[in-house]
Amino acid sequence: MTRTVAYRSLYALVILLIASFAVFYGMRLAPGDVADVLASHPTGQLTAERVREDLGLNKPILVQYATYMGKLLRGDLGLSLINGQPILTILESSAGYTLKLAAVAALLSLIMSIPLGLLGAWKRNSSFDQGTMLIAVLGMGIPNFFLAILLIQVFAVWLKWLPVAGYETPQHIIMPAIALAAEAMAINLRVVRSSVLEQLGLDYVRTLHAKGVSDQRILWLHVLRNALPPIVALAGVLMRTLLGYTLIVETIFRWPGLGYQLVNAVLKRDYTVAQTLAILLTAAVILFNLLADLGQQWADPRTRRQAGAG
Amino acid sequence: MARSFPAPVSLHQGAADAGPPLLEVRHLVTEIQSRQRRLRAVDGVSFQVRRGEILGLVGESGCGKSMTALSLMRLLPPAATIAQGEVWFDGQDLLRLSPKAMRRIRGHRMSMVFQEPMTALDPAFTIGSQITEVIHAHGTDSAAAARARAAAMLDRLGIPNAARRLDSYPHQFSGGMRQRVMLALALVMNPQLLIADEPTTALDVTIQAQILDLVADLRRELGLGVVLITHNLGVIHEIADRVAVMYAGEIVEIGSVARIFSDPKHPYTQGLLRSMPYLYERRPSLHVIAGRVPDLGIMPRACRFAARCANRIDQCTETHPELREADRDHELRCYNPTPFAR
Repeated sequence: MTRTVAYRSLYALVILLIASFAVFYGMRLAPGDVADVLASHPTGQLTAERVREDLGLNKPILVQYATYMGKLLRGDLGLSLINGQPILTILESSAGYTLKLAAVAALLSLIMSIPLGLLGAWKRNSSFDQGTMLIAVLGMGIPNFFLAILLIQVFAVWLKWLPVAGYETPQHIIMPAIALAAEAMAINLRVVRSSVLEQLGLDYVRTLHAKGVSDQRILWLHVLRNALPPIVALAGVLMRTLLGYTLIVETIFRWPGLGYQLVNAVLKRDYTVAQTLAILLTAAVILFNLLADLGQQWADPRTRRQAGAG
Repeated sequence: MARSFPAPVSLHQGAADAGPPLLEVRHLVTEIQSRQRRLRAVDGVSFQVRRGEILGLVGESGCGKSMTALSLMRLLPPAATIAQGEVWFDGQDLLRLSPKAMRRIRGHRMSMVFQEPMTALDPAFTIGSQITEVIHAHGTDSAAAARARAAAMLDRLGIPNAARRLDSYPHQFSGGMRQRVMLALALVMNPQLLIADEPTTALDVTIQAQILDLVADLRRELGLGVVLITHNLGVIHEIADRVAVMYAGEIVEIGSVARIFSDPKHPYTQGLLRSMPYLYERRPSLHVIAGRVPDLGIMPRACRFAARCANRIDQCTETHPELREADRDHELRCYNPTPFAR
């Protein structure tokens, strides 16, 4: 297992290097030169030349990348181009919000999808099963920005149960979490159901019945346990998309997380902030992939042992 | 008892006692729902098993022997249902029990082992936890006591280092070892009846012999009644006391092993015996029963074996033969039995 961890971690690191360079290079390709933007800033008396010099933009791109990553690794995240605020401060104030939102959404999607999928498979083709599949189709079919607007319209504007947007009270997290979780929940539901269905047809389930074990124990212990590997694998993928969607959902609900800050930074052409946040989000996504990968290996005792031996 | 057939006599000792039968199946009918039709996989099967007796249930694939076994345990797949019949076990009709009461009997007083040891165990749990699970489902043993019992059972079934192997996972065991674990699951509660559905078919010949010897020993030691399902007549001959031959959902001949192997009366049983290979015999080719088993959906109303039968008379294609006594402890479903010529 240690060998697997080391190997997968190394792999993740390589991916991170490639991805971060892509982000870095992509920023350079984006329309509008940073230097021009800064030089045209009304308060500044800067020339484009001067800015290029200061930011090292006249050096070869690989040198710029190396310098930037070096600083990043030493914990020097740099300053905002617009207001000179340290990016670390922005990060500290917003990362918590994103983590909270993503965690609540992930939890919500699992809490909904696992029991519904499990019971749907157990009572296959019942009206309950069909009901959950309808939820799944809706969840996958409705884009999250539309769902967000729908939620706001119904629960905030018509019923006035929940605040439209913001972050001040615990009620504020409900709608963004639902909007963010819906698609993941729907996908999870289908995967749980099909994975459980597959398990229910296997010989060992019949053995458990022959042993006189209760239905509840068979379902919630044995079948769920064996159905987990694909669910865990998918959870990693879903966390990744969830993080991606925070950009949209946080912006709609003005939830002051990383996604909101990143979108704002891009809109304000705050290149250093946008670049750093984008790279950090990428790193988070790669980290989740790594964890899901290792989690999946761990969830299956066969690969666990083989990995330990090999 | 005169035996014209060579038999390892020692295994036949200490068999059935008198008294009421342990298991009595009466006119069992099991149907499978398939698209628009209901097919009778088991059609009016009746038999008895006494304490300490091994009843062999033979027949080719699809004759309904596994469906019969699963019906007894009430473990049929969702598409199959028991349409009629009674299964008397220990003074109660199992088919009338609530699912909960049935669950308390399974694994406790009546157990089953299956054909495929490779897939019959839960891959995600240790051997030990799978055995103690049965103990906890039916008893009040402490965790430590259950574990000790599980280890003792594995040890009894010939698994070396039993106490340590409790923490192994099924994939770390060979097929023969897994079948021993399956037997441990089935026997740890000291049941009265064991239903074994092709328990050795998936195993090597040497392992087969070990497992069968084990079953024979256990029945002697524990007074276990066994329903042994197989298509292998050699296995039946080796350890069973009585045998029921099934064809197309019905029992066509039933009786003691000694009698049926020396004097088989049904043409189908005769064909099966003729198609068995013998080690010391030189034959150019094995005997084949011509034709094939009729499809469940287009079952002939008269004798089901008639189309493949060399002894067919007119009556065979007109009315359905009933199972009737041919001899002492020997029942037969045939209008025109002829002496067996090998």
